[in-house]
Amino acid sequence: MASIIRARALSKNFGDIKAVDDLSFTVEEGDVYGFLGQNGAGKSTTIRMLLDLVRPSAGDIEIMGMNLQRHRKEILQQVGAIIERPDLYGYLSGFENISLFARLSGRQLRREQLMQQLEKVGIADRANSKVRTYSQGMKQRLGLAVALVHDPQLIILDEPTNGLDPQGIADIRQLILHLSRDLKKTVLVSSHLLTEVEVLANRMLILDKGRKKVEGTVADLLDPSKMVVELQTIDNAASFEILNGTPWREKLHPFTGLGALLISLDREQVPAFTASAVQLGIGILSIQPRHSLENYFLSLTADATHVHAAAN
Amino acid sequence: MYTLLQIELFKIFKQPRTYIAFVAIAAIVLLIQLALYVDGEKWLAFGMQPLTNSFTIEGKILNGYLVCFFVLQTLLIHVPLLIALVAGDMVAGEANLGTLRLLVTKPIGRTRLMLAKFGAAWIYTLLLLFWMGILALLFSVALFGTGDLIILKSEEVVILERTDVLWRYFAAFGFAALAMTAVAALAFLLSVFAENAIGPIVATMSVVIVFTILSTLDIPLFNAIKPWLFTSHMIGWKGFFDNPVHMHAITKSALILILHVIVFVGGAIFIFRRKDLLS
Repeated sequence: MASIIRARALSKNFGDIKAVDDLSFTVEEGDVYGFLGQNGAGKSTTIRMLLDLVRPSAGDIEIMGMNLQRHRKEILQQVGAIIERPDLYGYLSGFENISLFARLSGRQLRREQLMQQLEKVGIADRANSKVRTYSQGMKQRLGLAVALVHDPQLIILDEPTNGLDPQGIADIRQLILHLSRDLKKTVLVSSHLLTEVEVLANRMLILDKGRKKVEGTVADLLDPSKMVVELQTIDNAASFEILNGTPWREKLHPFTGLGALLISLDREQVPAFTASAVQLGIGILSIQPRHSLENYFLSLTADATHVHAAAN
Repeated sequence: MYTLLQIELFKIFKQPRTYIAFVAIAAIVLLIQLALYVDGEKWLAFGMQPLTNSFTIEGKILNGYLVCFFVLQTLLIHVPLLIALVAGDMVAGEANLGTLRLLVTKPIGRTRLMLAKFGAAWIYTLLLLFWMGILALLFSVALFGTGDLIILKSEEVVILERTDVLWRYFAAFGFAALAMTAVAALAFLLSVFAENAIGPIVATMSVVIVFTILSTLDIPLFNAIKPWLFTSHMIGWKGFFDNPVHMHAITKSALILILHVIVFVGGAIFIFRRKDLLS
């Protein structure tokens, strides 16, 4: 399977603020890749870097095997995106908007073909109305139609269900699944809702304060038999070095320099790990198993109640 | 590039506010023409009194050419605002709408996008002046007829024969187009820094007003910079109504205006190419 996105050591600073810090990840062809994190975690900045809206302070991005800075045009011909809100020209009709963006994407489509795109997202009957008269849900659907009009291979959606009613959310999710399963598109979708990523994605990454916390398949990360153990020691950095030299290395999450050490373990491995840590001379202050990624995500999320409510 | 330009023009002319400028110009020109048609002879007789005391002037003084000159002198001071309304909106307006980021995620180079945007603003500027030309010159000639053009200046009276006037108007409108392009370029540059069109529009007008004041003040401190202010050259179109025409001075003014356009547009592209688009 070919890599569609390969981001290496991406960082972005806005003055003294590190919006994204040393972030690396890979999105494979056919993935629905979930980008999860609370508001301000760095999801939108990362997505903007992938779309060349924001220039990285460090690191590089390859999309479809091409360097983004050197092959921007070729890459963007294959990318469709919605960034946060699907802002479109309110003084133009839905049809005029999609027609305009199709031409900007290098596609000359006939009226019927454009109407088909609008039909797919269910707004063909309002094609000639001005977009400023659309509801938020209709704008979101039109935004999706605009993102897909040039038949891109990679679709990047930043919070695509924001502001939608339950039916709108269900429709957009259905459309994303259709893009992935039936049309074999690669989709990168960001969300601050774990349940959304759980429903849509096969692989995911959790971002917190611009840094990668967890990356893996959704099946693995949300497997109830798997745990993430949070280990607090007298000296976390030293303990990380010790564990990094043992077979536990494979279970160890990258250490950010802040907070506890994180180790992915099966439930049965927890006693053996604890005994091993004691044997290795690690000064354990606390060891706390997290029973699911959801708990882990909640612990990362400052606005825990919001996410918890959404998860339920 | 042609497609991009077409799209930018389509967006400009789909916005109702674009037509405000055309309506405003039409209203002002028609009102001036109406007023001169009704009361022009009396007004002109009063204005020409110092001259008619010493000379006998025959012929149709209040003719279409004089009305057009009057309209140009009155309107070209206000047109920059109408130009800034659109040019200042080109980037900032899209940033405000949120459509700028969508545009930039399309496979178009940022330089080409900016050139297309400025190109569209420039065409709008030319159309506005063309509209003004049709109303001010054609309508005036149709209403008042033609005749020799008599222009009263502070130290002299210029009399231009009827057959020697029309080319001067074409040249004057051409020069005015260049001057207004410089205003459009300034508004365009300022538009890159803002995320709301009001800022660049107000800033452009402020710069034009401040520079115009500096251009007219006779203070030694400002005399050194005056020749380099684009506002000092915006009235260069009047040079075509001198007899003889001082082409050297007009060419110099035109070159300075072109230099301003290049610097403003070049600066806008340079900044936009490096800009992080967060809005």
